Amino acid sequence: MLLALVWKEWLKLRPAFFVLLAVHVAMNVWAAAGLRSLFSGAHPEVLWYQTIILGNIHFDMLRHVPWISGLILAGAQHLPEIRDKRLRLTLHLPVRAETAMACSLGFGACVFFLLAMLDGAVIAATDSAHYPAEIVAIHLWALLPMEAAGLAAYFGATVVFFEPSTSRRLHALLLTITAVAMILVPARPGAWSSPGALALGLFLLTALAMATFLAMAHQRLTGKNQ
Amino acid sequence: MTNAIEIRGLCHSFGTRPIHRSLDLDVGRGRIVGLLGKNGVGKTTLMNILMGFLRPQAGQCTIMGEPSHHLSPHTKRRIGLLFEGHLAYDFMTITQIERFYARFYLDWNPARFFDLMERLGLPGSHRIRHMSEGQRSQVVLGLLFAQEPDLLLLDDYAMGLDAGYRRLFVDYLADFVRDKNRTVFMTSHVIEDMERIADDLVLLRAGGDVRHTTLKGFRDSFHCYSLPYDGQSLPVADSVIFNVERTAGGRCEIFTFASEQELVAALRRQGFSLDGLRRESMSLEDAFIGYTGRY
Repeated sequence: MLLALVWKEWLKLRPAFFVLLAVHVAMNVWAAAGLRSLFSGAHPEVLWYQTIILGNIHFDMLRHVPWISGLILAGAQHLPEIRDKRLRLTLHLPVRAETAMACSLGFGACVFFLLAMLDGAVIAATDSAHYPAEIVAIHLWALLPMEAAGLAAYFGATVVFFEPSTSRRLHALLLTITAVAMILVPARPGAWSSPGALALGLFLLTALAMATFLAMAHQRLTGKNQ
Repeated sequence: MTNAIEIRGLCHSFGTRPIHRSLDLDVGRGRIVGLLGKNGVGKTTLMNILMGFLRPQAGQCTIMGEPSHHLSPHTKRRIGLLFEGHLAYDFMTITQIERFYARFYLDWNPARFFDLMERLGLPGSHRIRHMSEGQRSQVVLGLLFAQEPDLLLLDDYAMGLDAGYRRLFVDYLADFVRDKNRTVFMTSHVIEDMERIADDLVLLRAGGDVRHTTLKGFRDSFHCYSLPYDGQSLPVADSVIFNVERTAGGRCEIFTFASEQELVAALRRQGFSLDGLRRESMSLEDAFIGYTGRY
């Protein structure tokens, strides 16, 4: 049954996933080409200085891609189920509602994780050709909040979709925007590697993930079911 | 447990507007029950409660012995739900949706599903979102049948169906439920279908008034008489006269559960002449409108 639930999620996400995969590949290729072009036009020491001292990152154009991806994944996955109260179909399946929800969220998060891994892998590979391991690590730490914002957008949008009352939905929307904005606040590359920042990010993501279950529980017996 | 559905003292209101007030209702196993009522009397609310999507504010509603809002997966397997608008996962194809649901039901009977799909004449790769309402209703019906449920809750199954698809739906459903003594609780705005399939009727009126009767009992006991209407005054409802409606052609219709003698006495008491009083034949729809009122 769990496999069937996962398969259902895949059927919904498949088109969006492949489009997003193409977008992420294109953006990463663009970033890699930009880095190569930088190194062909400037002395490496200048670029190293810009990266280490000034904190410039060559893949800043990726900043808004993950959170937009998170929104698109949430829409592709959940809108087909909440349109015309279709969520009732899932709620009546002979599995616990929490199990169905966990399957749905877990699979959506995994798909997003695949895209994030792609970003990380491409950046690590292109960086390795030009920078030492320490700078590659700093760049990956700089990528982390961008991807975390994507996951926050995915969870937050899910809460907004599932929440039945308009006022709670607005609250969820505000919380999601605040969380995503907070994670995306420009910071020195590697700033998110501190334990405090990591704990804050993890707390925000966990809270948003839990809120999706609360939204589901809240709307479960209201007769609305979106 | 002999009842598939048991409702005791069910109360529900929206804001200050009461919908159900201390509703009691039993649906025995193997019965086919039609829930009828005008818009706004609480049919959808009751179906939502029965389907487990709304917790009643007071009272109990049990399905197969379990609270309707807290059904175990085992009991959910025994209940087939048909949602208003023939909801289905419309992003799936015919083949995919059968493959998906088959994983959840131990007694899944694919032959029932594919029998209907063959008649539909669409390829398995046809996506449900590209189907007409009638075609989708066949897919949903096939899924319900393949599930082999003991209880079917059907919410406005006729919505959006043309006469042909509606007849097909009702006839298939009738054969299916008689086959294994299944229980059906359904709503529809097409009253005439109830005559073809229902054993019992639950008639809801505004204010929470409920009458649970057999279809035959209702047809035999509820009568309509007509009387010339002078444009001045109409008989008023009392303990004998259930409802009065003006009709075209200068007559009024008087509905009653009482005998003709009792009606005659009641009309005399109200000072009406009995000249032109005649008994009218009624379809079930006429009787329904007479019972629930036109306005």
